[in-house]
Amino acid sequence: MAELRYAEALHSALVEEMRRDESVIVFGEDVGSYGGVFKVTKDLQHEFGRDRVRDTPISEQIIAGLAIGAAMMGLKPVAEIMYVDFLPLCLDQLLNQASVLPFIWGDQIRLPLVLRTQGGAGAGAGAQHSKSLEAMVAHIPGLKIVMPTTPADAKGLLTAAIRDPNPVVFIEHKFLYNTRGSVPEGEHVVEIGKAAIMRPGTDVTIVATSRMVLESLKAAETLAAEGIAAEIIDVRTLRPLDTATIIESVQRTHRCIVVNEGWRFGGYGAELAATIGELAFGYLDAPIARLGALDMPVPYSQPLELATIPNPEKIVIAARNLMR
Amino acid sequence: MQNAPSPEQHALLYRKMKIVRLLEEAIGKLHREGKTRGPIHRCDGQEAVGIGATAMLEREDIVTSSHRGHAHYIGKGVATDRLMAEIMGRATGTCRGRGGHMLVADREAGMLGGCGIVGGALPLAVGQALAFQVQKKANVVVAFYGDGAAQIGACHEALNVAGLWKLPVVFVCEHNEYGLTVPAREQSSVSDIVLRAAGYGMPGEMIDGNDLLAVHAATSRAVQRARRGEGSSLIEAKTYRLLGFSTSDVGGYQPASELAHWASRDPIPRTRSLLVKTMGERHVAALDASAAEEVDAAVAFALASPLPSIDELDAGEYVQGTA
Amino acid sequence: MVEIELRLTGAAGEYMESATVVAWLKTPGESVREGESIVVVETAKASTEIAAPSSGVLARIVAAVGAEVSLGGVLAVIEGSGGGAASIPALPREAGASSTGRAALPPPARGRAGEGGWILASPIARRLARENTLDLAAITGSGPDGRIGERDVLAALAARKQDGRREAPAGYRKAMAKRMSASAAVPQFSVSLAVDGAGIEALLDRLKGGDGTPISVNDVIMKSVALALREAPRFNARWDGDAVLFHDHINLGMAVATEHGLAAPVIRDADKLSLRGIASAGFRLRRRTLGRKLTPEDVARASFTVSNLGLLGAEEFVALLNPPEVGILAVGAFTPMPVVRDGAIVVRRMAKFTVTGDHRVVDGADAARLLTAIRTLLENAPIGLDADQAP
Repeated sequence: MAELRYAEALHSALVEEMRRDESVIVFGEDVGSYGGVFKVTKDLQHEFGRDRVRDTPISEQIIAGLAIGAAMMGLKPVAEIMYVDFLPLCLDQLLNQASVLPFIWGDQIRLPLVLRTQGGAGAGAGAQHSKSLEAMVAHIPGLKIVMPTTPADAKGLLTAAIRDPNPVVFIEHKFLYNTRGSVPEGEHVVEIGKAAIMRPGTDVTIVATSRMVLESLKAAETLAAEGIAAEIIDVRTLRPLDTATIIESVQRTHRCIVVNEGWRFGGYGAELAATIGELAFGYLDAPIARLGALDMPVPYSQPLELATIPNPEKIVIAARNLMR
Repeated sequence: MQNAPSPEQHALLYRKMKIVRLLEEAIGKLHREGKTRGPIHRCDGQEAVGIGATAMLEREDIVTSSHRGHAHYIGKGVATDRLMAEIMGRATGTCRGRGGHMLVADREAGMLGGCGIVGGALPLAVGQALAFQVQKKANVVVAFYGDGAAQIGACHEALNVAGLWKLPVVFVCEHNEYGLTVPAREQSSVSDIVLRAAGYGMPGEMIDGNDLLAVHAATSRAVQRARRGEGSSLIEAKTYRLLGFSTSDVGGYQPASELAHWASRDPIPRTRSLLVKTMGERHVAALDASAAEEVDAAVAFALASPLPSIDELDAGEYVQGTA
Repeated sequence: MVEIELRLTGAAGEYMESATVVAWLKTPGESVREGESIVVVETAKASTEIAAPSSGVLARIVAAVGAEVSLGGVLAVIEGSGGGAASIPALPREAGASSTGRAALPPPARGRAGEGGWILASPIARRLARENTLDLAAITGSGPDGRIGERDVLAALAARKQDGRREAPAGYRKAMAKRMSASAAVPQFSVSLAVDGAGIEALLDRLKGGDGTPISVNDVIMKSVALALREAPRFNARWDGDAVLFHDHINLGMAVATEHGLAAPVIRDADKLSLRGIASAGFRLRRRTLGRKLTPEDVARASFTVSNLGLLGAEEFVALLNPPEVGILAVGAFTPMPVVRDGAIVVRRMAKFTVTGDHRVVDGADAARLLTAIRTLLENAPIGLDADQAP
């Protein structure tokens, strides 16, 4: 076990997989000589060379297209889109190629690619650099969508994503890169498609993604002091969703809050809430509460920005409401 | 093949062009009889580009195509009957009826593949070429696109990175004068796309796309450059589509004089005359008959093939196991 | 109840800045229909009628006759008939909600909406109530808007558990509970008399040893009731709400006690069957009852019921009617007792026969006459009660 930052855990997965499998290549903007704007790809070019670790031009469509084309021919590309706000620039490649071709061309091809990106508000990065767009990609069939919260999961899930024969969109969070946690040394794989119970509880299930998991854990502390035992579930894989873990929890607690940093209307929380409503209907003692960002672009000034996203206080209030 | 086909190879290339033309006409007939689904993009008049630019490729070389790819498919070696079955949505098609004419792929033949998004295959082509480069293979990618696609963002990004990284891609721009119903002069800031080759740091060549031998020669040169590790090339093949943009085109925007001009430069009669001179009418007539037979058999095969079962839709969403 | 303001709108016709109220077509307390004209206003150019925007009751007039109202001003308040709507909770803004694309919601109806209305209860509360046959209407909700939650149902369950063993009604008992609840609404009375069993004994003695199903005391009683009903059609009838319907057939229900409760299979056209016929029908039905194999057809359309608890030792009892029947006969045990005959005290086996009647259809005299007829037939048993002959 080592105590690593989230960014270091990602780095360790990349290094180990690139050593293990020479078909793994890395490319994106500033990932080569600079080592990435969040330093996730630090020194990779130095160890693995300029063929396998490339700086691309500022061309998101091509970053995605390169990944898909190369994956089709036997490589395992790990491409980076610097901000999830730029992901829509390559949405055509994701939607009309990565999703479509394996379905249409069947066994003729495999697309074992990973598209890494990061999002999240609160850093004062402005409206065009602070989004959470998982709902957009989770909507697309054939893609796997992963959002690790802890450093250990960052390493384990990235390793699993690299080894996965399907295209994986791997969404990190700018506030998670510097968080610390215990990370197993050596080979560490976390199964894609499994949620995790981060804190057991009996009174209310809080299902959250990415940074919102940490916010929910803080809320759980406050709630515990009020006698409300919240169970926190980290979704981890948004698609395919581990409904079994979530439903089993709601069957015990009878109350549920979903917390996601994307915009509330039509957001990922809506899919969670609908699924829970369908599968756990007879167990609910209160409506499913849904927390998301206010339906507006992220404003720059701090009090405005922070007011638009869920936080522990809002989660606590929602939980108290459910207990009435 | 060298930069020019041998007489036997020339004859076979003519036969392939004839197959494409007869296939397009058969599709037209079926469409009029109400037996086809959705709009189909015929390439009548452009056969020399697709057949000529694929003639010298190996099986392991890859071709990416567009929405108007029937000549590309036949040129790269996709079986005529499985192609026709795919166009008719049959379970015996190259993609089990899931793709239709715009999304045909045949891994064995190196066709990867059709694409219904204008310019959408160009990013894939550079990705495929990247793999060849990293794997240190001598294979190449031939990427077809049109003068319409030459204006889309993906095209510029693809050509830039191909020129920058010297990827083994041959970009073949089939300039057929139209992007849907709008003429090229109202879509492109330059009338000759080849001018942009220099802008992407690669050599360019403009040719008569309806001259089979010219297409063959230019592409061969570019393919050899790529195999030697010297990077990408751009070939602009001037050609023309004799029919509308698809079977749903109501027409009216191609002036009669223009149509007549290009009909007189139809690549098939042109190639035919050359062959008649070298091997005689009887031989060429036999090629025509053989092509007709193959197309008839392909159509019959397609119409007799079953449609896929909806049970197929129950297969899981993802590929299982590890990569 | 939803309050709707009737405003002066531009829809009244032409451009205007204000109008004067000329006449009210409805008075407060009167009901109004959506689209019905309720007030006449006048502008400089013309008079126009303004219609109610929705149905309800005109609660109060705000602009009286003669008042000038500006465009958009309130003319009156209508109480809309929007009661009973399910509660749609408003989302708390502090929980990160936004109002994108959501029109104003109707205000939540508090708690229950009255008889037949929707009861606000969470899905798990409903399920628990259903599984434990608890009536939600009997539970008070402690949740938002009076919603019944899991804890309310659990509390109700706990309270009920303190009363001892519980049995949910099933089978014959479930049907009986339902019928008897209906019976409670019928005005019933009863009349009794005692019957001497000597005639029955003599008859059975005479018929002993014959072929076919053995004939019992109860079979003789059933037969005589059937015959007596021929002369007492009012007892072979039903009340349909405002008239008496006389049945064309005499179908006798025969109460059979089983360990799962009382059933009443029916012997059809009992007056047309011979004694032997009644005996075999009774035997068959009793067997099916005890084997729990009665079909709906077996128990349908009785016109009169006979309940003989004499076999179980009861001396006298009043049976409750099985609606929609208007009569039922309760028979007690034949018990030896002293009676007076021709001035002397003798010991006879006597049984109490009690007729219960629906007082909307029959009266005491009818009941007495029926009983006397039955007694006559039974005590003079040999007359008309041949074993195998149908009358």
